[in-house]
Amino acid sequence: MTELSLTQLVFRLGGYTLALPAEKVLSIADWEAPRRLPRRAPHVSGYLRIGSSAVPVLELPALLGIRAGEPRYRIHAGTAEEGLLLPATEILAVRQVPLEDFGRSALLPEFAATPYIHAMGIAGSQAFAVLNTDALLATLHPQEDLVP
Amino acid sequence: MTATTQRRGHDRPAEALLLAQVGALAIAVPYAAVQGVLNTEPLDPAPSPKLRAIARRKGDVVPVLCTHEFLGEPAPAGRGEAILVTLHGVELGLAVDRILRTTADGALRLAPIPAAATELPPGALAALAWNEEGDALLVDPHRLVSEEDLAEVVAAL
Repeated sequence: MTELSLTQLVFRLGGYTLALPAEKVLSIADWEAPRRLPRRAPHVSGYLRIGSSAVPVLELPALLGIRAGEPRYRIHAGTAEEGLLLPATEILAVRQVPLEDFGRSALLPEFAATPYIHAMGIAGSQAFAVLNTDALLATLHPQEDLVP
Repeated sequence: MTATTQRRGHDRPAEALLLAQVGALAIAVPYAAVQGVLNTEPLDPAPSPKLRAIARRKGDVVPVLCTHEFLGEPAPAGRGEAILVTLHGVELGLAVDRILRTTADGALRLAPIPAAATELPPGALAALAWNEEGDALLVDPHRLVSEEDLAEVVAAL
């Protein structure tokens, strides 16, 4: 399991509050419709050109098995070489989360079976599901692709 | 092409690409692999989803692969154009809606697209290519069309 980061970017996707390690976030920008890919994988909605990279946009609601409306933001996460774009409805905050506050809230039943959520966290009175960014990145960059 | 070994986009001297429209996609193929452009004649009924048209070249019939089928785009009805190439030793056409242009001038930028982002055969989508005129998906026809696909098409003709 990925080590939990103490600094989390907390955001909303549809009716769900999610978080991912702040150090994995490269940029946040307004949502832009993904460009079309031929025979795109089911977990990919297309790509966007970011700087000198073609970055796939993940179908995060489909991966998590949830419904979400039209996103308003895109979060570029990972590394410049191997990154992904995640949709977000609202950017809430960057939170420092004490280690003991991870796992204090029960995992939502809809996330019980997904490998893309690996903990719940609480910051103040706000509970959030922590995304497993390594698992998300692995959907696009399987381990064999990482070997030089 | 060396695009599949590059991790990030970069400027490079132009390597001529032929750009064509396939459904909603703009694709690019290395111009060095292009032997010509032919008009196509639809086959009715089509013997296979992968073979919907032929072209004629110097009196010979050339099978035209339905590029749309391979790329998951809706196949158009009627006549169109085909890019003449030789794949796995077989001369054939790759159906396109229309030829757009060649990119021979100016810097061209390339960036890989992770293979897992599509369900195409590995390497078939070699890279994203772009310049100030827009994006095109650089396709490697040798990876897109397998020898089994070719055997199926030749048998259907």
